Amino acid sequence: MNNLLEVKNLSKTYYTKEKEIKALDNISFKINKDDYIAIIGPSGSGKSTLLSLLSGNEKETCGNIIKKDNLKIGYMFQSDLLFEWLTVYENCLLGLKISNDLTKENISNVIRLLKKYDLYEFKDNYPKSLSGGMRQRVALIRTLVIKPDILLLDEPFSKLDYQNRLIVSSDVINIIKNEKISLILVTHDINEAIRMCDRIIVFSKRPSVIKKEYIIKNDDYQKYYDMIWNDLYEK
Amino acid sequence: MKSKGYINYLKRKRNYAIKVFLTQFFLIILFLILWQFLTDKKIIDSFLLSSPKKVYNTIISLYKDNNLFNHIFITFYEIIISFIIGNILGLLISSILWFNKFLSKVFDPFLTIINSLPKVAFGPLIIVCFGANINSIIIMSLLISLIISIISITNAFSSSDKNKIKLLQSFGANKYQIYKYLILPGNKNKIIETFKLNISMCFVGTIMGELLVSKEGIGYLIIYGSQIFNMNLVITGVVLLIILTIILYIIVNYFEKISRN
Repeated sequence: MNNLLEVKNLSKTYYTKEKEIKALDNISFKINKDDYIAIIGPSGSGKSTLLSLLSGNEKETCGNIIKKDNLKIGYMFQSDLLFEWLTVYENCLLGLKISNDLTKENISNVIRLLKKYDLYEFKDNYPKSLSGGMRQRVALIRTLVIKPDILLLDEPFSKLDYQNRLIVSSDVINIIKNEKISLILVTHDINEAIRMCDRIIVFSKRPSVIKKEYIIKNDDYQKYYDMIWNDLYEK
Repeated sequence: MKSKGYINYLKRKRNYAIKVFLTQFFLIILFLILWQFLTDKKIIDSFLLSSPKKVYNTIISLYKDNNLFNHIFITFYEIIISFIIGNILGLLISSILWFNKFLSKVFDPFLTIINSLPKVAFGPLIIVCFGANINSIIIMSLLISLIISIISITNAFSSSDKNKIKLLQSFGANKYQIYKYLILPGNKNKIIETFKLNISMCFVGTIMGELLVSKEGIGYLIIYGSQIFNMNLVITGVVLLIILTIILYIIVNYFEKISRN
């Protein structure tokens, strides 16, 4: 079965003492194997909420998330969230330690990933000695070692400067394609979405509904850029 | 190979540190000379404010009576025992409060109120409950150090990065694993800082306890001296406290260095 995950009529409402906030309203879509999906929308439109729901960190208010059996989901956040008191290598082992999965095969996979993505010689360094781009790569490897089927990226490059953003984002998409993992990228950068993904879901303002969905079929990036811009900012 | 500039830089740094130390040393000597001079010239009354010579003589006579080290040791012992119990209990209770949000909410106002009360007010109550002995001194010391230790460690725990908790949850971590991999190691520095603060809190608590109820210890020397109006003994007590503070400071710095490495 190609279908990894299906989101059906998903809604999420947050309750505080003062009010209730509807973040997501009746969202439905499917994720297939080798899908690279970008979710784009105004800030506060519930994009990160969707990732939290997909990863199981939060519970949905209504609707369903139907996952393929034994589906593994990796989650990367806005900042790299490396543990400063652990070395690069120890940071990468974190997921395996937690899932009690420190097998020989998994450890050699960690070594392979570190070697492949030029981090092996830094494996005993602490994160503070790494550049922003390297830190993101370590964070990515830490997520990849649990062998996820789908990777959730929550604006993972927003803390980097423009140059590094371009370099690291192309690094990351290459790694993800190499490792054959499906992707859901949350971003508010239209360029990034078009460059990295082949399906783009545009969210409306809160409470978010799916406003439009694009399949990027050719290299006419400007056309897609204009259309998405219109969706987001034209009244 | 160090460059000439770097060697000069290191030399300048070292010389500066030596200059600071010598000035500190000089200030102490100046203070002692001035104190002795003013009492010799009877500008200040040595009966009320003692003098360096008299303090020295008191220390020597305490030493000859085999009491000096006994008093220092007793106070040191009380501080260390309350420091160890306070830190272990502080860490343990903070951890329980982190694991159980409900308990944490329930106890929050109690901790704040107890923390703002002057603990010395509990003195008579402690003596009645635990007897006029070393136990009461340790309880008094604990009362001061433990509450602060619980409040600051609990605050540190609860201000841990929420996204890092989310990250661990996305790996499927349970609460114990979050505690083991994030909360405890991530707050190591704050815990050490609390321990450091606790040394002085235990010091204050122990001396306060000794002033209330004791037969030995530096606090006892001070209170006994004041009762028989022997100011030499009181000031000797204060001098011994200063020496003990320096010793504790050196010990804490040593352990801090070890834990940083």
